[in-house]
Order: sequence, then C-alpha cells, then structure tokens
Amino acid sequence: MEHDDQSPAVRRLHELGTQPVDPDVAARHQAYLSAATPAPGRSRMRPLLAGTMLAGALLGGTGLAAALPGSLPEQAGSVAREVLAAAQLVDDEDGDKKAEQAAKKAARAAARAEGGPGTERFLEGCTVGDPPEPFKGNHGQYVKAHPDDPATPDVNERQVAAESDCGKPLSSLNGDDESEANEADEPKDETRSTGADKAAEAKAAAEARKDAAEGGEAGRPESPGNSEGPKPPATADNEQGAENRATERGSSGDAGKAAENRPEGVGPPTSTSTSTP
Amino acid sequence: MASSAEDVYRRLAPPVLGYLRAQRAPDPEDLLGEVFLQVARDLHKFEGDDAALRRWVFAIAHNRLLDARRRASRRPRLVDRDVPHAPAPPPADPFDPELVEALSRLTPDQREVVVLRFVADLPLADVARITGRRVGAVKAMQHRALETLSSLVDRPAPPPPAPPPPAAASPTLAVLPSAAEDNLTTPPVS
Repeated sequence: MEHDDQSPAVRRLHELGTQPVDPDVAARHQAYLSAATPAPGRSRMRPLLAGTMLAGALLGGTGLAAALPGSLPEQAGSVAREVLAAAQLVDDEDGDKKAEQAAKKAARAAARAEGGPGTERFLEGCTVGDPPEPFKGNHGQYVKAHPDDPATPDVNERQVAAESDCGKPLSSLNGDDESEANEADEPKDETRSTGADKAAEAKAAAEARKDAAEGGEAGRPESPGNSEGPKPPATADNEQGAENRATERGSSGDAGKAAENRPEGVGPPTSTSTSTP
Repeated sequence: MASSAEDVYRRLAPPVLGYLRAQRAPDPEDLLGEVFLQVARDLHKFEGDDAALRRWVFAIAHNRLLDARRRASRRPRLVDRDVPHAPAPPPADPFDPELVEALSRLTPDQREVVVLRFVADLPLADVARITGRRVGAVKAMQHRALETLSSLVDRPAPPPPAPPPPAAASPTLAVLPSAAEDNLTTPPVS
C-alpha cells in the first residue's frame, strides 16, 4: 500500500501494524477459530431444513405425499423423488431418514391443510357453476362456490352445500381419526342426540308426567327449545345452527348448560325451574 | 480464493492488533479474539478478493471496538474506596508507547482515520466506507492528524547542553574565583 506521506510518524504507524501477536495468545485464538468455524456439508440441520423448504415449495402442487410410495400416481411420485435426489439431501443414513421423516410430516400437514389432489374426496354428483360442471376440490371450496342465492329464498344454497359431503375426504366419511373432517362439518342431526341430551329429555318427560299426575300446569314444551317448530338441523358453520344451539340451551336452562359441561351419560342435577322460550 | 479462518488470522491479526492498540482498546488481545471469532463464523458467507476481505475484517474490528467501549462505559465498577475524579491512564503500549501517546492527543475521528489508513493499511475509499464518511472528509482529517502527529512525534531532538567555557589562567597570579561566583572580597596580592 502506498502512503501519502513517508514521514517518520507514518513509518512508525505502519510498523505498529506489523508487530506479531504473542504466540500464546495466537495459539489460544487459533483453537477458538477451529471450534467456531462451521464444517461445510456436515451440518445435520441441512437435510431437515432443505426437506422442509422443499415441502413448502411443493405444497401447491403434488405435495410431498408424492414422495411416499403408493400414495400418488407414479409420475408425480417419481418427480418428487427426483427433486429430492437432486437437492442431494442425503449425506448419510441419518440425514436421509430425518429428511424423509420431515418430508412425510410436511406432506401430512399439507394434505390436511389444503387437501391437495392427493387426498381422495367424495365428489360424486358434486357440481359447481352454471352450467354445472363436475367439482374438484375440498369441502371448503365447495361451500364457497355455492353462495346463497337471494332469488331462491326458500333454499339456502350455502347451507345445503355445507351439509353435503362434497369435497370431504373419504377417510373422514369412513370415520378415519387422522383426518380433520371434524364433527363441526357434520350436520347435527336431532335424532343423534348425546347421552346428556337423552338424559335431559328423559328428565323433562318424567317431570311432565309428574306434573300431569299432580294436576299441575300444562306441560312443558315438548322438546327442549323446539316450541317454534321444526328447525333445519344445526351445523357448525351456519348462523341458524348457532341460533338453534342457543335456543336449546336457553330452554333447557341449567340442565342444558350443565349438559355441555358434563361427560356423556351423566344425568343432570335436579332442577326445579326451567325457562320457557 | 477461499481462505480458511486460520489463514486470515495469520495474515491480518497483526494489523488488527496494531489497530486496536493504537485505538487504546480496553483489552486489545481479548478483543482481537472476538474479532476473529466473528470472522471465523461468517467467513463462509464472505465473497470477495483480498482487499475486500481486509476491509471486511477491519469493519468488524471497528464495530467490536465501539461495542467494547460502550460496554466499558456502562459497566458499573464497585470499589470500596473513593473513586478518583479522572480515570486511570491505560497502560503504555509495549511496542511504541510514544506513538500511542501521541495518537491519544488526536480527536477520536482523526485517530480512527489515521490508524485505519496507516496501521491497517487501507486505502482512502475503504477508510471512508468503514467510518461512514466521504473520501474528501477522510483526506482532510488524515492531513490534520498527520500534521499533529508529526509535531508530536517527529520533533527534532533538543540540542545537547553547551560545554562550559574553559577558565582563563594567569602565570603570576593565583586563580581566584570570580566576584560573581563568590561574595567574599579578597585583597589583591601585591
């Protein structure tokens, strides 16, 4: 390096920068450096990270479920396997295993979240649009594709779509625990009452009989919350269902509320008062 | 060309240590270790030639020095006696204490510039980049700093004291002390 000025001060400054480090200090520092330098290509995290990133990149497409043998058409599966191989995730057996586990986990999450084309769904008779075309997608998409039409006030198209099984994974319809087709999606059928509801009904019926026998007031409403006539079955994702549930709770009073908090099959506590809608 | 951390240490540790000493860092050798620890951690991300590497390492050294000074200024020191009003002066530099002392007389900015320029051996543009200044400003600071340093460090040695003039001797008279040196009066010898 050239100096602007070769005065003694500059020369001495330059010499200050050439003095060697004390050998003991240098040895200690060198030891730290060896420990601190990351070893290239031997990081255990790289396969996991790369696997997770690939899973994210493929979410919109075939998903890494394609990497799992037998779950997808061969073509998609082979593409995913080639991509994984090209990324050279495998450094050693452990890295391979971990990358595969990460990929499987990501694929399951992807399938659950998006329900990609890899998941088998109920699509029989499910159509969308005008003119109707065969629908292909998940249940949420099916419901969104069927908004309520004001021109047909008697029918709530969205509700009907929500109650249908269109787009739901077949495994959920077959009662598979792993899927996320949850109870909230299934229509709440009045005939499928829980043990707590049954107990409440039985209790109400018994009290009605007792009242009638004792010559008391005209009986209670025939069923908890249904004095307004038949209501469409409640589902998790419609307001009517929420209204129904609120009404049920309100009319059954303490018994209804307690029933929610009690495990099935346990009878309600004795209640002397109930609210009438 | 890919360099290992040890390689970089062998080449750049002496100027970095000189830089830290010239800047009167609280513990220059300890700080040197911190600087190269960070270099070792991040070297795999670095891309550039030797000049860029040098600039990068000194930028790290500059920042670590600022951190160390901030830490030292914030750290409370518990003592069981009265705290002196002025901080104790740092220990003298083992190599060139006079030069380091002269550097401490410069303003912090001037010192930074002149040390990066001549101890770290960086070009003006790199010094400007590290210190966040324009090249023109760095040049002006360097000029003023060197003037001050030269006046402190490049002073000519004071002339040796002049030898006393030889005393004048008479063959007939005894040598008497001059009246200026002796207040006593002595009658002349006839």
